[in-house]
Formats: sequence, C-alpha cells, structure tokens
Amino acid sequence: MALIDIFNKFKDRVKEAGIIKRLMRSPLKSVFALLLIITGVVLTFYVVHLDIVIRQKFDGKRWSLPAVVYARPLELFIGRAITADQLEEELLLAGYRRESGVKDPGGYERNGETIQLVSRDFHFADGLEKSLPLTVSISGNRIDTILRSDSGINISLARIDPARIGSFHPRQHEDRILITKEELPAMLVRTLIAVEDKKFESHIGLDPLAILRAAFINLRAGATIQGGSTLTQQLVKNFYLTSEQTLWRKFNEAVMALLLEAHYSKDEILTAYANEIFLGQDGGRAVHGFALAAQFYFRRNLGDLKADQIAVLVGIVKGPSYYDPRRNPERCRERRAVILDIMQQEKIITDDQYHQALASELLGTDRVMSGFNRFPAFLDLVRRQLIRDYHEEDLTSDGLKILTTLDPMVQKQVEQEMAESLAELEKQTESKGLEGAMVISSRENGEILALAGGRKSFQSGFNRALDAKRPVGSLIKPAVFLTALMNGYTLASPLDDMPISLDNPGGGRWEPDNFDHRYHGRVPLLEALVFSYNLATVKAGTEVGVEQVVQTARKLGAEGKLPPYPSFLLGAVSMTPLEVAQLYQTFASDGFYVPQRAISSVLGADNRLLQRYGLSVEQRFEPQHIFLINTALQRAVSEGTGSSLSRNLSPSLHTAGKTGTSDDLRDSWFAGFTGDRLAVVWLGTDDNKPIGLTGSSGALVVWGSVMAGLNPQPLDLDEPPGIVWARVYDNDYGAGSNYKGGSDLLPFVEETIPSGADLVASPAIVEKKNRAPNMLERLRKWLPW
Amino acid sequence: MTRNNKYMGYLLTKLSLLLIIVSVLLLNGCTTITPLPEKVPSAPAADLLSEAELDIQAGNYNRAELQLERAMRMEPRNGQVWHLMARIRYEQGDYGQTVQFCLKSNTLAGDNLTLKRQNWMLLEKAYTSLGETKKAEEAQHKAATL
Repeated sequence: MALIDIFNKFKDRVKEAGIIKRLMRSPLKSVFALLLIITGVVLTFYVVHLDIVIRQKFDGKRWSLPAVVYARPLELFIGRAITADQLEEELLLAGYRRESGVKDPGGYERNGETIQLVSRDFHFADGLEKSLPLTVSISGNRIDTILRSDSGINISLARIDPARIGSFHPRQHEDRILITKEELPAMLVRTLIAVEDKKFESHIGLDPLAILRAAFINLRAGATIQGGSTLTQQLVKNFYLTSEQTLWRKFNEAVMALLLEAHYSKDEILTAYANEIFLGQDGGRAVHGFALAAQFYFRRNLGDLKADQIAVLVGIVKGPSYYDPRRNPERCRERRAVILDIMQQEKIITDDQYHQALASELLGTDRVMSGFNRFPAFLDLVRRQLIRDYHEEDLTSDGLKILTTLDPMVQKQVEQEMAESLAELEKQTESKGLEGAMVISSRENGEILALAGGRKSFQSGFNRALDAKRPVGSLIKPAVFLTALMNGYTLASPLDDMPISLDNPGGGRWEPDNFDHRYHGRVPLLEALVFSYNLATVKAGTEVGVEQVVQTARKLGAEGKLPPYPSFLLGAVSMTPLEVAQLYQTFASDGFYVPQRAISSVLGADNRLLQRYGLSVEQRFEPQHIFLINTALQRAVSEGTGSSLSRNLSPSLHTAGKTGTSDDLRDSWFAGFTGDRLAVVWLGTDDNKPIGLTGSSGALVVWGSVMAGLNPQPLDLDEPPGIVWARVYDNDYGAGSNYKGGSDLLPFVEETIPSGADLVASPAIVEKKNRAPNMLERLRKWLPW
Repeated sequence: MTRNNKYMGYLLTKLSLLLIIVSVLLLNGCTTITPLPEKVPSAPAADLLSEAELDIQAGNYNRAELQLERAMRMEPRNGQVWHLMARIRYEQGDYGQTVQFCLKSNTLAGDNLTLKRQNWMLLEKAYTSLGETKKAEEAQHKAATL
C-alpha cells in the first residue's frame, strides 16, 4: 500500500512538473524509463571507467620487460685455442640450431673440424655487430682460418652474439621479446587471422556471426569446443582480465574490445596481440609473444620461420600446454596439420609448400640447451652487483641488457668437475653432505669467468661462493710473509719454527702447533711458506706485528672485520670464497689491486649504453716483493703443500698456489693461479662439520681437475728490475729443515742479498740465452753486410 | 777426437747454410713472376688496438676502452693495451688511473724500451697534472735516460 502511495505521489510530482508527459502514459512505463535512465548513467560511468583502464595500459608501458643477462661474447680469431666440440657447445648455448645448409642467422652446420654458421645481429656496448655468414676451420685445437662463407674473404676476428644466460623476472615471471608490426612476418599474420578471426580486418571488436556460429556448434556438441572470440577480445582477455569464465567478464570483454577498436588501429591491436599472447612455459618462465616463442621452440628469429613452424605457433595459441610440441608432439602435429590445411585453402601457402610442411619434423632441432637461468650462482652475483646501482623495479621492468663476463666454457667445466670430484671425495672419506664453492677469474683484468655456489649448479639457494664465510686457515700466510718481505726479510731469512706461547686477548695463553705436530727448528722463510709451518709463520708475524699483517691483508683487498689477534696469522679470520679470490687477485696481477667484476656494461632496451663497469687498477705493493712471494707460491706447488697438483697439471705450468685447512679439518681451501686464470676452491659442509680433508687432499684436487680442462697457460713471472738471483747455502738451519745441508737458488731484492751468497744470472735470462738462435739469426751471421 | 768431430760438424752446417743462401739468391734471380701472397689477416688484437687508437683520436673514449677490453681478453699481458688504457684515462682527465695503467704497462713491457719511454712520458704529464712535480721530474728523467 505504502509503496503505491509513494509511487502516486511521485507520479503527481512528475505530472506537476510536466516532465516527459508523453512518454509516461502508464505507471509501468515510467518505472521502466527511470530504470533505463539510471542504468544508462551507471553504464556510461562504467564504460568511461573501462575506457580509462584500457587507454592507461595501452598508451603507457604495456609490458614489464625483465633485464636480460648475457654471457661474454665468443671472440673467434685466428690462433684462438678452442676445439670444434667447444665451439659447437658455445653455439648451442647461445641458442644456435644445428641444421644442414645454413642460410639464416642463428644456424650452424658442423663437418668434422669445420663449422659453418650465420651469426645474428647483436648490439654490443660499442655498437651493432652485424650478422655474418662464417666458416670456421679448426686444426690442432686452434682456429686455423675464418672465412666469410659468402665471399670467401679471410677474416681475422669475429664476435658471436652472446648466450642469454638468464633474466630478472618480475613476480609474474612473464618473459617476451617485443617486436614491431614491421617485424611480424606476413605469413604469420595471415595465418593467425585465417585461423583465429577471419573478419579481423573488418569487424569492430566483436564478430556476432562468429559468436552465433560457435554457440550453435557448442550447443550441438554439448561442450565448449569452439570460441567465437575475435583477436581483439582475446587480447583484452589476456591483457586486462582474469581467466575466470563468468558472464560479467564476458560482458567486460565485449565492451573493452569495442573500446579498444574505437581507439586504436588494427595494426596496433594485432602487434599488441602478437606480443602478449601466452605460448608456453619454460620452467618458471612464461613464454609470451611470438618472437620469444620462435626462439623457445625453434631457436630462430621470428622472421626466419618456415611455414610448418608458423603453423605450430598459430596452432598452440589454442592451448599452449595441451598442444606443447615437446610434451605432446602427436597432438601438436595434428593441430599443425589442421592449420596447414587452412593455410593451403586460404592460399597462404602453395601446394608444394603445404606438402613439404606437412612432412617436416615438428621441432627440427635435435638438442635443446636452454641458457635461461642455467647459472643461478653467477646470476646471483650479477644481481647483487646491479642492485647497488639500480632499483629492483628497473631490473624487472625496463628491459635492460646486462652484458657480463661469464665464460660459459669455463662455467661448464667448473660445474662438471665440481660435481664429479666432490662425489669422488665423499666416497674416499666415506662422508656425506660435502659441499663446495669455486670462483674463477681472469688473471689480469679481474673479470669473473665462472662461479659455483655449491655442487649442484642448477639449484639456486645458498650461494656458498658469496655467502659462506669460513676461516681461511693457511691461505692468509702469504700476507704474513709479504709483510715480512716488505720489512727487510728475504726468502732466505731464518725463522725459528719452535714452540710459542702468546697472550690470548680473550684471556689465557695461545699455544699454536704445527699441522704435523713437529718442530722444524730454524728454517728459511721460503720453507715456512712452502711447507706451511704454523710456528715459523707466527714467529715472523709477531716480529713484524700483527697490526701490520692486517694492513697488508687490507691492501690485498680483504674487507670486513679483521681481528688483529695473533691467531689472525694462522687464518683465524672468516672470508667467503669470493673475498679470498679478490685477495689473491692482487698476487695474481703482480701486486696491482684489480676490483673483480662480473658485469661489463648495461644497455637500455633501446641498446643505448647506460653504464660501463670499466677496468681500474692500483699498484699496492712493490713489484719486487710480489715477485718474491709469487716465486715462493710457485715453489709451494712445485715442492711443498701443493705438490700433488702435478697429478692434474704439468709442472711446466709453474702454477702458484696455497693450501688452507681450518681447525679439525672443517674447511679445505686452495687458491692459486696459472698464467691466465686465478681460481679459489672451498670445501666444507653447511653445518660446519669436519670433512676429513686438508687443503691439499680436498680443495686442491677439485682445483686441479677443473683447471686441467681449461688449457691453462704457463705462469712465467715477469722479473721486475731490482731483483738479483743468488745461490744461498745452508748456514745454520735446523735439523728439521728440508734445506739442511743444501743450497738453493733464490731471488732477492737487490739491497738484501745475504752475505755468503753467490750471485748468479737470473734463470729467466739464462733460459733466454740457452734458447737456440733461430735460422734467420744464423743466416744473418753469414751475411757480409 | 770429439772436439775434431764437433768442429767438422760446425763447418758442415756453415757450408750447407752458405749453399742454401746461394741457391736462394740464384732462384730469386731466375723467377720472373712471384704470385702475391694471399692477404694474410693481421693479428686480431693488433686490429683492435689500431681501432682503439683511431677512437681515441676521434674522442670516442668509451668505444676505445671497449675495444681495448676486447684486446685485453685476447692478450692480457700485452703492455701496449695497458698503455692505451692509460692514454684514454689521461684524455678523460683521470690522472690517477693514468698513472696506474702506465705502471701496469711498465711491468709488462719487458724489453720494449719504446713502450717504456711512452709510459714514462705519459707518467710525467699525469704527475704534472696531479701536481706531483717531483715524481714528474723523475718520470721525465726516466724517459730521457732509457
């Protein structure tokens, strides 16, 4: 009753006001009109809202692009040491595909020791390196010739586009390679339209006929087997909406599709579609867009796809997981046949092409090696270095290109040998849970070539190379003896390797012992380092002062807390393998501190150089002192604690290195360098249990087996001016000394030669003189002018 | 006896060498057309070095540096590469690093006196710019007396 009253009152009011009299002949009609108006207003507001949503996203940055991380590029040059297998491995990792008759960029063909390839365009920090057809011949594990396959011209140097080793994803883990309309192959566009949306060019966002047809088919089948969505609707669905199947969402989809069509051109919509569409899953990474899908499935650039490959991509739009060519090849093949039929009917391909495509292999590439986030430990390091200069958001959304120093060949060797050696060592010691970490860098420029954060390289997680801070043990000794040499000691200086008792800063006495629990008496400084005597080291360290040794460690590159207690002299200081590597880098580069780098440049999405991580050096020690200590480190390998390295590496490499072992055999270390690389290995367990391995029975074994496979170059130390060689004789070394009663040829800083030593010519000069003069020189002697 | 044998052997080698020279000279006289050798590509690192030098002259220091870093990966102990790095740093006004790269180049220079002289000359300029006159004088002296 009351309602009717109110209604009548309202009616009277409207009548009095004389509003739209003619429209309201009856009360029912007026209710209807009112509702219509209200709905109209609400709807208008809603549509305006949708419009804003659409335009905001479409006009703004449409996609977050992860920063992509690249390995160092492979430089091909005459004389470069590389085997055909290694080259092939590199190409596969860089996403090359093996094929016969290489034509398009990104393909290679191998015939024995000759590899033919077509490199891909790549923007380096110094500009675009154009795609080149190359024929590389290898002989005796070196590059013999490089020819341009097209012209046959000799080339001395070529740079291959680097492997994509990972990317920094935003949370959704979407990845894509953005392309423009011009980069979309016409065949793909025509096929896509023919299969998914025949009226695309003419409809206004919706295709009512297609919807009706789909509805009819679905009704008859009693299930949803055909969709009537236009490409525009599909784009809207992927771009703006969730995947829930409700009527409301369908309504939104339709309105937004109409709006999108009203605002943007067909080309823009199609390009957005081609970049947005979800086309597969690569582990934790969602593959979006045709360009990335072309790389992911065929290792080809989108522009180089053949008819059968285009058919696969268009086919899997319908269900990337259901039609996955790798997991469900049969379904995918059937789907491809359906698409190829359409392509033939629509005259997108000729009959010949059709038959050829129908018979072709589904994926073509026989081996797939995804470089994506294959090296989580190294990527972790890259990320940490980047985060100092970039916001997390920049890394996951701006499409940065990060060019790094990772050498995939070295990395692979590290991963393989690390896993094998650790398994072997576990068997030997009948233990479990042995873990390890390794850092390898370039000797002179400090570029980090490879990094292992654990024995299982694929696992991300605890990155021991960066985060396992462990007591370094005897690895610190070179810093102790370097300090002594800087204070007038020589390699022949006598040191007492005798019991020692010192005040412990924490109270009580500190009474260190030798590893073999023996006292060696009076020994030369060289011996103390070469055989790693604790007591003689403490003696030398306390004589020059612990504080000074700490200073030296800092100058070498050690950071963080370095407690200046006497126990520091025996390595009671915890460092990560990476920190140790930085410290030893200074020995390796002849006393120059070189900050280690994992990144060389950062480019923007537009390939503009945004940031360089350039090389810098700083001479922190006199070259003479470093020469002496490095000579001693070579002797540690040739005759001391590192001598078992000769099982893996030829003594002619003159490797320099030092073992380290912490209390109760909890940590096993080896740090050393050859003529070209520096490497540090740590072994231990995550819960810090004894592992029953010393530096030389554990870490050194891993070090040797990794380096042996890397074609190491000999370490010929450059003798700085001011070094004099002399033969020294046993003066009064103790009975426990290895040098008792003998003599030794040692280098000295000129002013410090001990009395009674015989000066001799430098071994380096002697060697040079002994080298037979070459033919030309001999000839010259005969010529009268 | 052995000494005699040695001497005979020595004489024989010398004689045979003489023979080779004579025949080479004769052959050279006879040949009319010598085919030009195929263009042998020069050392790749050297190519990058000359590119880098051009870049330095043109003021493209970033690019020059990148070329040098490439060259350094091929020949890390080529003192010339480190010298050019020093020149880039000098042009960029980073005199501290100029000094450091020159010092590094010197440690790798070996018998290359020309390179050492170039380093000391650049060191003199860098030290002067840094206001370290004494070191500059020393560097000048070294450059002059090498």
